[in-house]
Amino acid sequence: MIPVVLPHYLVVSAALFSLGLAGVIIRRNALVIFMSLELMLNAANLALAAFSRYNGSLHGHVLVFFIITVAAAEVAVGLAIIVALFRRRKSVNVDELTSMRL
Amino acid sequence: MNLSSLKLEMATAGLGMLVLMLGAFTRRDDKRFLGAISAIGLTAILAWSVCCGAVMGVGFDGMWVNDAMALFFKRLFLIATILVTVMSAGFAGKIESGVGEFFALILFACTGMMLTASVNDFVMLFVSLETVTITFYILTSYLRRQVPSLEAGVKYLILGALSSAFLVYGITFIYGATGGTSFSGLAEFLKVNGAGGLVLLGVMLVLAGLGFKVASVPFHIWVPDVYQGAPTPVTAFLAVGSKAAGFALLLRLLYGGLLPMKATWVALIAVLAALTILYGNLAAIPQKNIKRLLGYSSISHAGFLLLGVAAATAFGTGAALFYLFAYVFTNLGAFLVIVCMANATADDEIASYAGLARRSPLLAAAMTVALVSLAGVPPMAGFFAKFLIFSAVIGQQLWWLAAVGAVGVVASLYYYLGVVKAMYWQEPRQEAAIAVGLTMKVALWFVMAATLAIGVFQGPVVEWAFEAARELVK
Amino acid sequence: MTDFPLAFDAARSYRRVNVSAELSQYIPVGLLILIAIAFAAGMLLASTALGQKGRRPAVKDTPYECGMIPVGDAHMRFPVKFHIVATLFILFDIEVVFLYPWAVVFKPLLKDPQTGMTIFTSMLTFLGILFVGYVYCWKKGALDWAPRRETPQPPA
Repeated sequence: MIPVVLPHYLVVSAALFSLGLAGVIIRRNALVIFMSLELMLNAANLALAAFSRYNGSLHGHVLVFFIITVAAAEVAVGLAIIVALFRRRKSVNVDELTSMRL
Repeated sequence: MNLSSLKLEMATAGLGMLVLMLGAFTRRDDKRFLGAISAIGLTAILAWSVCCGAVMGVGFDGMWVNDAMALFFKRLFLIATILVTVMSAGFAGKIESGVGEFFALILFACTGMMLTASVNDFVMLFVSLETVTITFYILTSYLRRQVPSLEAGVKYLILGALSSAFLVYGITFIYGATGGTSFSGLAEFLKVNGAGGLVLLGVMLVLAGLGFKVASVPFHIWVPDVYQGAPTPVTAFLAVGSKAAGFALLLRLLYGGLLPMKATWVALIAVLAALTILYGNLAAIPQKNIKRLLGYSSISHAGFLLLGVAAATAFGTGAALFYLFAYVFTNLGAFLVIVCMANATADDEIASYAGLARRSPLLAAAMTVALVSLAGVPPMAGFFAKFLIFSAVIGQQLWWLAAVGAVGVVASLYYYLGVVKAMYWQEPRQEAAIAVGLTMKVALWFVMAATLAIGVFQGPVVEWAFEAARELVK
Repeated sequence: MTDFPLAFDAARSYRRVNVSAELSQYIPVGLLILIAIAFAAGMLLASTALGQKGRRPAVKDTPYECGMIPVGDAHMRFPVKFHIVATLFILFDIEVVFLYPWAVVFKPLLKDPQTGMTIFTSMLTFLGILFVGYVYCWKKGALDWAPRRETPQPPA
């Protein structure tokens, strides 16, 4: 059995963050982009929990709680906005968000 | 407990909840009276903060600082919110549903901004910033049957959430390196170990997140579309309140946690300021939509504010604070005119402003005062603000920055005065006079008077701003 | 901090502990799996033994008796109520994130009446703010599944 130590958590967290960032950059569907953003926040959560354990302090856990809450609020608001946009445009493709130009 | 140092924020949040509940439980169709309640309540809180509501000191394990700078920003936010509330009451006819909630959300955003002014810890920084940002997601997409507003909302949502993800990841690394989340802990860590590796990465990510809030150049792409698409009072609030909140956090972080690496951030901020001024002013020149124009102009003003921060002295910081104060009145004046115009002409094209002087002399005069002040022409408030910023920069011998700023000022004269020219020397598309409601008239006169008064009798405001800055930059 | 052997403790004590002791900490997990299987099987058995046979309309065999039809085009329209309820669930579910740690430390902190009062009132304030939100959605009809009864009548 290989001991799981801090760098392992950080590598997983960095992988999650990069996956999320790649999703935000590559994907064109607003919902998928939004999902990728949540993945990035959760990557930070994982790293925070690992650091918290490693540092032996609870501040990291406290921040994790707040991030979870903020992410939930963001999801509630974000999904509502994306749904409202879909009802108007029948599409959530971000390439088509071009009603405003010079 | 030190709950008493949170009195002003608690009062504002309570007022927001009161407005929300009143909006839900009253049967009246016209909810504009809620705007009156918000404005009166906010004025009372502002008066309270002047007479006796301000409890100074450090609280909550050092997470919370109420000093002269915090108080300066809190009053600034209250003033801005009062004006935005008045503006929203004039705009309420365009909001199809949820006028009561609109006022409540503005109050919640104001609470978040007031929290940012006292932040001294990364957890507080994150929570206060998100309180502001998430509220603005809703406000930006408030006209939920109009595609531009929704598009602006989605763009702000995606880029805002991206910047918070970077911010949070940065905080994670700082926490991992220093073992705590307080600014003072970071400062001590930097003093002992120097900046490098994990902690430097974290600091850069956090600064990127704040750069998004203040709309500094590499993180500005959201600004034009969001400013153009959002409801006009929200655009005004974004330009004034959200930006000032970003600067409050930036100053707190730079002088709280990052003081030991001052040499590094001075160089960084100086480069960002130069890029921001150049980009904002040059990109504003070809604009045809007035809100988009003011969006680019707000990027350039973020650049001038960063100039003051880059000077990194009590004088430079004080100049930036004075600049923010002048900017609140000046910019809100411009947006008040845009709200009145949008009620009459139903679009925000600069072409619709042609011959405005004949259709409504008051609106044309108010717009001229605002634009001339934004451009930095004496004797307006904007002139003295730019004068202070430039003296701070030159005092630090940053000649190249001053030169870049001068280029920016000259470019800005072109597009600001282009609008003035259209208003006074072009033929109007139609001759019909534009009616302005009494509340809006009072607000327009007040903002014009304030812009002029701050420019002519700068003394008290300068003293106030510099006292706040001196306490921050010890 | 806690006695539960989390990963970092396991890593630290890796060399000193023999394998059987390390595995024995997973006994509760194994027990839980067994109980879960037994419970599910028991429910199925009980329903076959006790249930009324013969009264089985087709709808009884669908995975969800109420809610969405699980087979078919994924791009179907469904009432926006589902979205509202899901959103409200997320928002009010999240309060547990703060309630749970608060409940864990509440009892030890009660020893000092001053601290006890403080954390009691702060949680009360938190729940009070949530309650304002709750009253708001209630009043706005977000919790009514059926269409609102007091729909405005057209003028006669």
